[in-house]
Amino acid sequence: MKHVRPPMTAWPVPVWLVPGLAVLVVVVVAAAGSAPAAVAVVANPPEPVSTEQDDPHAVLLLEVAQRASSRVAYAGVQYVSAWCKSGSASQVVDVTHVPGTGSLVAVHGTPATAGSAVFTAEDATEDGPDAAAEDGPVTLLARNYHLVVVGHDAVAGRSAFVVEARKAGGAVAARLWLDQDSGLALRREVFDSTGAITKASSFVDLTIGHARLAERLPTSMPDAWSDRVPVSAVGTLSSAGWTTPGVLAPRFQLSDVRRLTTDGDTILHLTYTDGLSAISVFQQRGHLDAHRLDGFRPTSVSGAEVYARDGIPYRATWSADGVVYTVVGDAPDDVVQAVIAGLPHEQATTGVMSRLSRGADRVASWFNPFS
Amino acid sequence: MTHLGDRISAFVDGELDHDARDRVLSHLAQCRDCRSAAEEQRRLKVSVAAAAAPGPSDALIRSLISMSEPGEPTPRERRPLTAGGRRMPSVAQRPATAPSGRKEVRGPGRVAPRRRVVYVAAAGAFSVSAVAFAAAFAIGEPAQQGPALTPPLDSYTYQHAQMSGQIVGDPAYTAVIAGFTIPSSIAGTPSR
Repeated sequence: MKHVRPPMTAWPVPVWLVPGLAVLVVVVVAAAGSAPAAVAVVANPPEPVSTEQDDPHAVLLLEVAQRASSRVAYAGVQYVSAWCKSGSASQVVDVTHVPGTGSLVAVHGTPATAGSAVFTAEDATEDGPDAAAEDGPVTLLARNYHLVVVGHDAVAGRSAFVVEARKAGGAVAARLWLDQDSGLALRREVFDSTGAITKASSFVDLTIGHARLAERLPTSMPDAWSDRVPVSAVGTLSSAGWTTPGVLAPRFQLSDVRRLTTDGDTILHLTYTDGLSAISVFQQRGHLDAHRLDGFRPTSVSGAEVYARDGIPYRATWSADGVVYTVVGDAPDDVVQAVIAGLPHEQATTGVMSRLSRGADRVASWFNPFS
Repeated sequence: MTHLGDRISAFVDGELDHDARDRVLSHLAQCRDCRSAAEEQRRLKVSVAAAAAPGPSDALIRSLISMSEPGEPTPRERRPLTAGGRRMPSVAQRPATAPSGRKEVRGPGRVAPRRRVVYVAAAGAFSVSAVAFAAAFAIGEPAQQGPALTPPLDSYTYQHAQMSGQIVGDPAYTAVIAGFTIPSSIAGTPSR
């Protein structure tokens, strides 16, 4: 049998260089992967903020409503509904508010006991989440949305102004019914980017000016998060390695910063709001142990790998660069997910190439006298 | 009379010094047995020195070469026996340069030394690459910074609900998203 050998092609480089090239390939892979370990995921293009001139009457009504929520005594029955991708939740509750004392919310028709009622004590000296914050909820509403008074309506037998918060382009983000006498918000509706309603609440019965709390109140949660950091001083937190962006997704502005120290560990709680909804970002040093998460499943949010639990509120957690991030939001899901995407995330850790890149990067760092 | 014994071997091998050799020679002059033994050992030494050192067989050499070459092994050589029973020169014994002037004679399964170097170098490069990638893969395991912990999600949710209620001014919605339940642990317990 005749053996036919394939023609031998000329080797473009000396053979003894090949092992070196192999190492070079690894180093090049490392260079390609030498981006910062934690990166912000590119999210979908944010919706533009409305630049139309607000209706001054609408702004005034909302400012009155903001003050009335803490300064007006009232008692009534209210329904609350919220929708998310996986379903909805509704509840009819008895609400009692005494200025300077607090608010009691109990499942309608049940005694105010733990498990069916929540009492939130009110600090009379405070007027909002962060008194030092430049922008209150109404200011943020006015900045992010086009506010207009669209008419009158009746809620729970009371006359109300109807105010709409509109996005750029005219889509309605929220509709508010504000009591003509007291200024209280009697009804609220919030919509997502598709125009679908995501949460609604309305009084079905309301008495203003006469409110009395039950003699036995459920235990109020101790104010463990009382270590407040002025929003204007978050630069010190950033210097200490915490992530404290001023604005997220893109209307949500940082409005409150608190710290909780327990067992020597510090947990940071940042609250962002656009005036309609709130999104919390918790941070704690460490890496995520996902085995003990209940009901959370791995999810990709705009390319970021997180453990998320759909529901009301939407919750997601992950770790990046030595910090465990947890986001809790009652804004529409798409907005919460945009906030998640805007926070730091590890590069993909499951791919072979990313792992090779990371390994080569580490090897290269061993030989780098400046690293 | 005492015979020479082991000293005969040392004498034949030339390992004795001058005095010892004189004493041995004196004894040999008188002792026939020792003289015969010395002559016998000398003959044996000469015959061993004249014999060729044994080498590996041709078949063994071909097998070893085929193991180091790519491609299929060198085919077995046919029995090159002539009618007279003499064996033909083996492949290893053939001249490397043909009489016609060609540089090398290429048989099936054989490669030129230069190409063999290339193959060996390529195999070495492949091995080094494999080791490098395997090492990078092993070292590239995601590093975990800090302690492992599971966030206290109930506590976080409650805290979020409280802040949301203060910001949005809707205590009823706060109660709903908090689930009317105050978490038993404020900060939760890290899984350490």
